[in-house]
Amino acid sequence: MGPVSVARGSTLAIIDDVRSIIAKSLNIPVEQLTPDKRLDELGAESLDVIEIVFALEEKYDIAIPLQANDATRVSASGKTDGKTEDKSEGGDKSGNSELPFTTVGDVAEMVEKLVLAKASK
Amino acid sequence: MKFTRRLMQKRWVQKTIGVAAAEYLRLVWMTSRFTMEPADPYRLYERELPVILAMWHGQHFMLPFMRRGFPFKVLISRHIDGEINAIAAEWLGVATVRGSGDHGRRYHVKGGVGAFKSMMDALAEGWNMALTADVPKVSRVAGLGIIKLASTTGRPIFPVALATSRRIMLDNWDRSAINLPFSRGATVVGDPIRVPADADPEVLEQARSALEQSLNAATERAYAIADRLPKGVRSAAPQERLEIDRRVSNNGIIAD
Repeated sequence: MGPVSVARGSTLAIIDDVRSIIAKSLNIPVEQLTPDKRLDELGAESLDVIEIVFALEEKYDIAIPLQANDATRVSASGKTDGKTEDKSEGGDKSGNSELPFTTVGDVAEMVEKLVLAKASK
Repeated sequence: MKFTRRLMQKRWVQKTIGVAAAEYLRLVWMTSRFTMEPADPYRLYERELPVILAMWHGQHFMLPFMRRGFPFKVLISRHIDGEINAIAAEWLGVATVRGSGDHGRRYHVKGGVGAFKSMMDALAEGWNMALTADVPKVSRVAGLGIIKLASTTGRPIFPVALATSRRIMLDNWDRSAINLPFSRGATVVGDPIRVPADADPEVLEQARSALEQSLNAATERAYAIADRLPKGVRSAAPQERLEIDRRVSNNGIIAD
């Protein structure tokens, strides 16, 4: 099945899709997925979240922004560009997560915003 | 202890230790003689680029010297130890992706999700990716992350093990081997492991198990070469090897 058209992307449909994708990935009944449920409380691990992100990106043809923390360029002298920031385990200094969502509701809200942004282009 | 911890969080301290570690590893590289098995593993890579290199935690410090001009990125955790590792890797010209997997539910602080996407992007851009197959705190048990990376990107995994005859085995969770100068070194590369894009959980598990076995075999072989075990004498199995290393580490340095 190809990406869902924006016209179909009503809030209700997006919430239902998000719940059904999360339920499938985590193998839990969709009824348990209330908007305030945190993904980690539902037992999600990083590979589950990756699966959820990929499924949503494919369904809506969107790119979900994730905070990268890489040093990618190597200079002529062989040194990398040192883009890595001063982070310790536990996210950045403000305690923020790398992910723009924590709960089921956050995921639905984020997808809706991305779908709307795509439609307005 | 609190003071040490606070000190370790200072960027200048991390940078000093990271650069010193990198230069120390360079000294080990320059004063040691490494043999490879197969003799020219780069021939294997060349046909398959870009590739995913898999290692065990604690056995990977000399890897930056093995890349022979191939563009590499390495996955390094966001932990303070990882920060120092990253500084050392970058000083030696290896680019980094930061994050790690997690056995629990702390994906949102470990950075594994973003790191996975960064690794996909890196492979798509032609970078080779090097990462440890075991997830932090559970040594020498391959995780599914690297298998899914291979499945998603279609890139082969090459198991790699490095060992030196002179080393200090640390008493930490991954039995880190600190390579010492003036060593006989060995690099062993296993056969590539490919994971189909449509792999179901059973196939993923088979690939995970195959990688684990191949990495154990490569590690065993690398130590056997480095320790110059007599012909016909097999190196101890990886788990026994860990036990031996644990006993020997009580005495500190393993001499030639």
